[in-house]
Amino acid sequence: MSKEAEIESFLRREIAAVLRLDEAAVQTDSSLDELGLHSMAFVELLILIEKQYGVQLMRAGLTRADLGSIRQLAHRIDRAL
Amino acid sequence: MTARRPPPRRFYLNGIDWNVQAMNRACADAPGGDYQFLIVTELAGTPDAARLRTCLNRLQERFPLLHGRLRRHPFNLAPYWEAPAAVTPYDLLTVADLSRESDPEAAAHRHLTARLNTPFAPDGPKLAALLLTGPDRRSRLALHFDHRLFDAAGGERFLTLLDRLWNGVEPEPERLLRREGPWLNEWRHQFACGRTVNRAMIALKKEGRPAVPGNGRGGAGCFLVNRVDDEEFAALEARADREAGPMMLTPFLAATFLEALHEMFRRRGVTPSFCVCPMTVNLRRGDEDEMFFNRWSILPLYSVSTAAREERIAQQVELFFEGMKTALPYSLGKASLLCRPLPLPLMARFTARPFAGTAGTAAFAYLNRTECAADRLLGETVTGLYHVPRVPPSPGLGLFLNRRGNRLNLTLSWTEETISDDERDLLAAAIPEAARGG
Repeated sequence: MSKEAEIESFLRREIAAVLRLDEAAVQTDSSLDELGLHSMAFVELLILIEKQYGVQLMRAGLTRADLGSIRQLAHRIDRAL
Repeated sequence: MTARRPPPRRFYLNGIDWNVQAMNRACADAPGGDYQFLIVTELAGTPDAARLRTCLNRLQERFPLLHGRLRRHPFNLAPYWEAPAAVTPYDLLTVADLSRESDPEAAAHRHLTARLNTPFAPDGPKLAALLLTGPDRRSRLALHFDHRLFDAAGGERFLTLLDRLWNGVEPEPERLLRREGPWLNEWRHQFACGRTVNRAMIALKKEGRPAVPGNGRGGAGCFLVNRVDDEEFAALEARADREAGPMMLTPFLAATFLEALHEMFRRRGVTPSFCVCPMTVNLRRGDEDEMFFNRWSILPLYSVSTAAREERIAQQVELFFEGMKTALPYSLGKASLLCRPLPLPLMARFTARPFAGTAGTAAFAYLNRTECAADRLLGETVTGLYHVPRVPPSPGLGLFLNRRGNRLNLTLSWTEETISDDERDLLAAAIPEAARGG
């Protein structure tokens, strides 16, 4: 499994947990906005990403475009590693 | 075949429920009624009142805890809500016709204000409904909730339940009632949570004493509702993205409100001051069915008046991160379990003074996830839905936002004489003006 695919899998699992959704409902092309991610849940997710990969995304110039899909976010994390 | 469990009659209160009981006590001791709130649904048509009455009667029979009362366990002192074995339903619905009013909007506001200031009878149900009909076919349904039994998300769930019953779907109380409690274990964990809360309070005290808007004596509850439409909401999100970062709408909204509070004190000649907004955080999980009692907590957001706007926004984002990293809202709920042996009058004084000797400057809440998202309710199209909470005497001021689709409702709530008319307009307009680029 490539690093990016591994990050996608991590994000799907954690977003499902943070939003209390079934993991099957969280696809790699799902938009974070459409999944219902809001500030509080997003901060929870950022903390999990920081713990797992040591990346502080907000300080790394994260933009709304990076949240277009889980794939895009995984790509953004991969670039920051 | 398994035997069906009898419905519970004893519901143990969690730490936040106990705080809410104390806030209710503080409200009841001051003029103006209980700690309560309304959820107002604006409908394109008028539902049948007789059918609505039947549904409300049915829900009282199915959920006797609506007629319950506070008790305390004789040995371990754990407070609980006791439901009667059976109830005789009360008529919960009041209907008022606004079609002949010269100003129906003003009349509706009068009716809703009166309802917000009507306490529940000690031995009666802790729920009521007000149907305002007209003008034309339009109507407003205000469900009046006691905060001891419902939080904002629970109230919306109740609205959904009412709609399901209206459509012939019987409620399943077993799924919706709390079975947890009385939380008499995990003492070490509760004390560890207490330590987290204590550290946050000590950090807050270093900022000084927060500015308070009123005298804390309480009074009649007043409110003003403002709205942000789809287009303005998109502009607000785009601005929050630019100034606070992507998905940072809530810290942006809090910073905007804090800015308006500082401006209010500046106009009063109270500078420099430090403002703190205890922000309500919904702790309900999407997969939980429990409807009654309180599943929320507090995250204190604060700023000093000398901060520039950019600093104020950055600080709210930082406080969000810090609060979530230390699990402060969760810890506050758990640590509050330790306060349950306190007598309620003492607890009421305690909850009015957590932030450097005050209850904060103003409450702030943003309900992002709508529990009652249906486009239709009681057979009619929903054109709007907003919350009207009554604020406790201290701080006596709060801003409550709820998102419905891509629209935002803002309710400014205060106890009379806490703010002037000019201050009301300043605080209520801050976020809509930010949406318009102001």
